[in-house]
Amino acid sequence: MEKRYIQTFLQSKYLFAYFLLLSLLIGAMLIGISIGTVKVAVVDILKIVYAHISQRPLSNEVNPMYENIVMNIRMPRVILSGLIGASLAIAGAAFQGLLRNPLADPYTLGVSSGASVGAVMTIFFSLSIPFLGIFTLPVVSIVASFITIFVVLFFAKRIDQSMRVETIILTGVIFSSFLGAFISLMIALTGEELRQIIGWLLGSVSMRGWDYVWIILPFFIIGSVLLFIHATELNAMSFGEEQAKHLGVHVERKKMIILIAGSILTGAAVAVSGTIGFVGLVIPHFIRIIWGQDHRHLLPLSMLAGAAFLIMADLVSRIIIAPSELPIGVITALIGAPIFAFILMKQRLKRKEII
Amino acid sequence: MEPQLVLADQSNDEKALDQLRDSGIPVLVVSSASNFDGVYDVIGLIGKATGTHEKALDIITEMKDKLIALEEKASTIEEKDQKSVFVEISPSPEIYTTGKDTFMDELLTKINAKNAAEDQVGWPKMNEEAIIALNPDVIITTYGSFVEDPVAEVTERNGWNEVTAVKNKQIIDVNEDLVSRPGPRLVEGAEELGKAIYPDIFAE
Repeated sequence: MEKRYIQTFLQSKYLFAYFLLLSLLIGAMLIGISIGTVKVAVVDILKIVYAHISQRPLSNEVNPMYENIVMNIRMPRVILSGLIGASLAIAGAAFQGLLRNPLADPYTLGVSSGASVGAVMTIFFSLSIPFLGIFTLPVVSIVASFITIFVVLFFAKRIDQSMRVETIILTGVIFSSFLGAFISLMIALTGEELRQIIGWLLGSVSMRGWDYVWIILPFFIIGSVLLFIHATELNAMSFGEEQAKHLGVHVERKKMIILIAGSILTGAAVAVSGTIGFVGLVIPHFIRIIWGQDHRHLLPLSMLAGAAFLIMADLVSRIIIAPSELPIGVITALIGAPIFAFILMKQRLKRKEII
Repeated sequence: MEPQLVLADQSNDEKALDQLRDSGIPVLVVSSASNFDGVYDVIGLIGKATGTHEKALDIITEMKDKLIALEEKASTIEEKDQKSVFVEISPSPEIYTTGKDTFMDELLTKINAKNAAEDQVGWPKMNEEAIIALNPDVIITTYGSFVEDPVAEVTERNGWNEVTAVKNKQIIDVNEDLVSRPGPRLVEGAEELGKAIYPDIFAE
């Protein structure tokens, strides 16, 4: 009797969580598309989207300029920031679980530094690969991030066959600082491109368009599906690798898959937007504090929350000092950190009261 | 190198300059000019300091003459034909422009063009939608030295096809050094801008 009661309680708890975060995400998307230099009413957004999906001509009541703004500028921007936020949040949740380290985030492995070196190099040398044109930067960046993943994992494997958590983290730190030195070197030597390099490093989703959505989407799908499949293994491993082994998990192989999946997500996200901090570190903690450790729910809930959060952060970054714009990475930390601190404090106080 | 004179900017470290002075090298601190009168002052000052005052005066007169000629031509532009111009000093996605209190703004005023970003001061970064809403007649880019095809960079942007400048293919790259360095070549910069924005009026 009692057991069943607990089960339904848990189910309704998660049902509520999904409902809440999904509504938040949809709300964030609508607000994000609606607000800007010109305000587009939510009704008009729905009409424009409906017209596009059903391939029917747009009704005359809607200003055709709105259609351009919604379909070509804001919608891709909102969807892109959503995908980036989602990618970073799931990758962060997975890395924290796998590495059993609350400070782990998607950038711990050094993948982002690899992606950054690729991007900064493209700007620094004004690279433009034929046929790729303006997509040289994201493509070079993604390739650089993948090379980094394999070098980091190869290196970690060489120094420690069983790839203990400490080894992985240390290897990541070493590679991050080594690659970071290259970035600093290019910054020191650059002239005209400085603004672009700094702008990219601080993170931005402005002026990317639909193409960037298509670039990140396949990596997002592959990475998050791989992680969702391994949610139960992550649960087992977050108790420690020995325990996971006793529970029948192929620890080493699964660890490799989870690391690669998380790195794919991170690499692609950094390649299209630059290094946006905070999301991957704090969103998973946020979800964990409120809804618990179970990775089967932690991963999808983090995904929804990360997407909604980054969409709102981007909205703030582009309206707060309009017509100018702030780097989104600044906003994520400025808004996110105090909110997180508040929740952490409240939660701890509550726990004390119970005891 | 044993220089006989060191020209320094106001932004230079005062301590470093003192070291130079202590070692017996004269230092002339030149305030960075932000308009034509300031440039004339600086040229005159440097002329005096280097014993080429005559030459400096010649340069100033020549600049003034050219500028008057330009302004005369510009005054023939009627108000209804005045074009709004958006200046991009860095490419997307980080588009920076030149607002009030910049040389670019003064040059545009001299040739009777309207700076689309005149509400801004200095060199602000601009949001894409805001630029589209300004709907400039002409877009001037100054990053041709390090971006391969600046015109295509602008025309290929998503959602920009309704902007007047893009529709009428009025996107022109000008040499950055001519329009941003406070020196005798600023007048050339104004001439080049004139030709780019009002080809009928400023063509030779």
